[in-house]
Amino acid sequence: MSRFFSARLRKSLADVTRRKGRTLLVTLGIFIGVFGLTVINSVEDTLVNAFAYTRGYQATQPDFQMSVDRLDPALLPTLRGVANVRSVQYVSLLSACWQPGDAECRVGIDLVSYPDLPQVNAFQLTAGRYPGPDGPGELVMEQGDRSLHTFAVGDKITLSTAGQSTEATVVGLARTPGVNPAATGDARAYMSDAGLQQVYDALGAPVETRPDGQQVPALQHHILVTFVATGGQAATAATALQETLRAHDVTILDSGFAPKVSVAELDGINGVFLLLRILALLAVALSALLILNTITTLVTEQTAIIGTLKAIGATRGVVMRGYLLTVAIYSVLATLPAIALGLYAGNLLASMLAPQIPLELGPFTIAPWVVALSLAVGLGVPILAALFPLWNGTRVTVREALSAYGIGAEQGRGAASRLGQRLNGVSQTTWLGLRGLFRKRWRAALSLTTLSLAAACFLVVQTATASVNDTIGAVRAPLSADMTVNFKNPAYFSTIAAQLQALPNVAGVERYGATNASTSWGTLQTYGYEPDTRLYHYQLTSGRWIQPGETNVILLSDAALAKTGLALGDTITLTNNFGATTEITLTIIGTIKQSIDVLGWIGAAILPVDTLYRLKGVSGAEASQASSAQIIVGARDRSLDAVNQLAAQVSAVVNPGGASSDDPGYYSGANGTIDTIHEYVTRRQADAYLLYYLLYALALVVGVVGALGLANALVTSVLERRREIGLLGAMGASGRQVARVFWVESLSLGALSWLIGAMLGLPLAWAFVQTFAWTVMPVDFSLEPLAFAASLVAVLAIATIASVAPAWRASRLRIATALRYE
Amino acid sequence: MLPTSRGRSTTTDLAAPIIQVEDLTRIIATRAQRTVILDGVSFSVPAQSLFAINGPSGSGKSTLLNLLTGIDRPTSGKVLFGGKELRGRSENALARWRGRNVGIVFQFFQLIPTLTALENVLLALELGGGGRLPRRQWRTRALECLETVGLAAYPRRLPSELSGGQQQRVAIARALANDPPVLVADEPTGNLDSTTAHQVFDTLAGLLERGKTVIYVTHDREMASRASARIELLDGRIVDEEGASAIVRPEGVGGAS
Repeated sequence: MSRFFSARLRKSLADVTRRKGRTLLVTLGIFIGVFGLTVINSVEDTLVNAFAYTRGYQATQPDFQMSVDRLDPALLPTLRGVANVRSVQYVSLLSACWQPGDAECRVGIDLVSYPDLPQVNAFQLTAGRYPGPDGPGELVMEQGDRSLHTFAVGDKITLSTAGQSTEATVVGLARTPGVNPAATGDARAYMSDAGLQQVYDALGAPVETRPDGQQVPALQHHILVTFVATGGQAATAATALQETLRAHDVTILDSGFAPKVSVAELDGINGVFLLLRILALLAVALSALLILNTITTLVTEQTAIIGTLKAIGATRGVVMRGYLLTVAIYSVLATLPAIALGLYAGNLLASMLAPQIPLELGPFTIAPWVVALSLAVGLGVPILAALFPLWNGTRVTVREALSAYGIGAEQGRGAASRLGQRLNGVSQTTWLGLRGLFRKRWRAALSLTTLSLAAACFLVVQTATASVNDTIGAVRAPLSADMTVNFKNPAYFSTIAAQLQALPNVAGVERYGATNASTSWGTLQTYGYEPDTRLYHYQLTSGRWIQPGETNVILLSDAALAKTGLALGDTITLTNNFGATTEITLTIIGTIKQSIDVLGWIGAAILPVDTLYRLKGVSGAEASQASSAQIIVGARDRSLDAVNQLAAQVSAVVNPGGASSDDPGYYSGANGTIDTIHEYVTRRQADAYLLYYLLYALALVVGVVGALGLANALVTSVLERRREIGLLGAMGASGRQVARVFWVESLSLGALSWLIGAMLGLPLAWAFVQTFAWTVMPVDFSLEPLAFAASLVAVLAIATIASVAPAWRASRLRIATALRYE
Repeated sequence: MLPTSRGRSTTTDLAAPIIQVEDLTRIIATRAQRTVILDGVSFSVPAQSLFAINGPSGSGKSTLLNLLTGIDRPTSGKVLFGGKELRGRSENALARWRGRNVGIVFQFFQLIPTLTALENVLLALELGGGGRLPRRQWRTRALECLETVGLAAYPRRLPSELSGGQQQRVAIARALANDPPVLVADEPTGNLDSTTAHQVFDTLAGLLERGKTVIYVTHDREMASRASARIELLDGRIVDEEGASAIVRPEGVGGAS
């Protein structure tokens, strides 16, 4: 092979292939930078696309919806021809049970069919194929259904209702924006019209009883309509459509203008993207810093060779080009696998993050801009970063290159040296290490920067995670209640309260409610309490609490008030889009200290419990004092065991038929679920683990960059101090004593970096938490003093790890070799 | 068979010296002290001679060699190589000039550790313009250079796989690659045992037959005695000479420290 390459190219190649240790170090540095950048950009691109898909879908949501007794395909052109109608879509729906194996019906499933399934844009096929037009028992499952029960394409699933069952084969997977089975607990699947009719028949043509007592087929038919113009013209068009249907003997069972799904809650994701972009920029900066450090080491290591090349006729340009070629080879070696692995890891991370937002991801795609940017950074940044050290390093003259090793005449006059002369009892090898710290100020500054950044980053991450964790823990802190009970149907409160009060450990029972509400500024985590609550210890920060009998009032958390820019006395409109859509306008009467535990929401709100039920769509009579959809129960003995025991007793009252329990603080039965506050908080904190992993992964990357940077600086130090090492050896120093010089140098740099990092880290941590609070989730700054100690341990560990290879190298250096350079 | 120097203006004229040194001084000044390394040295190197620069450690031998090859710059005085002065040329110009006109052999060989013996020689050919040979002949030329120094059997060995003497011979082969009129060697045998040292020296001396001028630095009087011309340095001054038209100055005044 070598016959076909020039000697300079062969040298560049040989530098890569015959110096495996250094090749590994340099490529690792580039790899980490490019990998991190690719992962972050890939995650961002995947989530942004899923977000855009969801928003795009919402724009096509129907404006008007009708339930009819039958769908007449022949009528479709007539309906589409009505003035102001943009689109008309037929859809059929059957609600059934999905029975995994022989288990009883646990999961509800909505089977949906469209007459022209492959042409419908309501969902995206992500795997497999569409059901055949007449294929009996073929369906496409929503991919999020896998969160409810595992299955794969090709599996058969059992569908049942009212004692009848049938089977269907999964032939594909779909994603539907706005459909999130993990959140609703209901599965969804798509079938052909014929296939759905067959399932309906196989299940014995089940019927449903309407609120007015009328029995109708469980197979529902809907007509979804979008209009060109809304408002009065839409109402006219809707009337025209209904008249057309009636004229063709189609019975309209129900109709209404469908609410547009609010996109405000999805806007919270922008905060996550902002953080991701900051991380991406940090990855590029770190990558450049590491490469700069690595190339400086490379050039220093090759000083003698550069001198030799110049002595035998190489100009500075020739030398630079040779090393740039070596850097280019390193870049290619590191960048290509970094991009491949980064795309894979990015997709993995996005699929872990998406359900938490929640978003449904599409099929795996490679974004050209992500690859192009990573290629540009992976190939361009190393070259750019190498230019300065190469320009600087190749300036060396032949004489300097071949003879200027070891400490010059100006060394040993610093503060460390003077200090060393005054302190007895400290070994000279230790002082030799200390004196080596600032031999090369520029390099020391570079090492200190990366290490300080690592220490600061560690502190920021620890503070951010502690802040989030404490905030989540504080959400239920104002409650002296110990558990919540969620009824599947509103319960008659006085009866259930009396039954629960009879339990020995119950201190109090109150009506309560919790939901999310959309506003123009984003989503509020909304709670409802009795005006005279004794189980919720509100902390007013301004204004007043709710008076008995008040309905249209609201208290906002300080964070929510700041986000909305509203003031006391202003009104705010809340919308609840889950189930029946309700919109209420309330007057702000006060602000309270209340945290939230959901990413992307703007803050908390407290309403009178009746008002909250009204917002949730519980009708007038049910929203009165007489009934309750949720209650809170306080215990006398609030120890964990006693509360868990009480939870079991409450469950026995609420669910006389028994309840399942996966955890000692959680029960689920036919009538309702019981969730202890401790169990809830633990669960919510666990939900944030992914965020913590992300942040700690970043800290780890910064730490690795710091370690590699320090290792590089020490390797260079070893090279430059061969004479010292040789002299030490000649004077009888053991390998361990020689190694200690560099270990001390490394630890000293680590300790100094920690000091700088701690000073930088505190304001950075505060700024990060404030940014996080503003863009992602309102959190309070929470500093753990132990974080400083932990970051010191982390930095010293990094310093020790970084010094292993250089110290070992120094201790193994032969005296003759070391002295030969002089 | 290795070809000899091919009619360059700076070579082969036995009547004219190939290098003339006039009143050369090199002073190194630091904040702490001012050291005179060379103090007004004047001499000439006859073409196609085996020229020794002899003297004890610290006498300024290596500095003088560096000045002759343009590696270092004088504080004052002139170095005329083939009648042309080196002063005033840029570092890059000097590098190109060295590649074509001077082959350098270092005490510690200074081979590129990641390249084989053959590749080290090829690199010098590439950097020095290939001794005016077309590129397709470079490989043959490099192999011939290795054969000249008795290493034809080890072209693919890395420096770490060769003995000290073998490494120094590769360095000589590298110095010969571009067929320069002058070879300079700084203590070429200083790092070798006596048997190997003599073999390496014989190799260098044998280059005279190929029309080369070989200038070498040594502190070994025996090695110096084999030269056809020589100067002896002490404290930066020439204290003895033979066939070098040197201005000899008495011992004990000034000099390197």
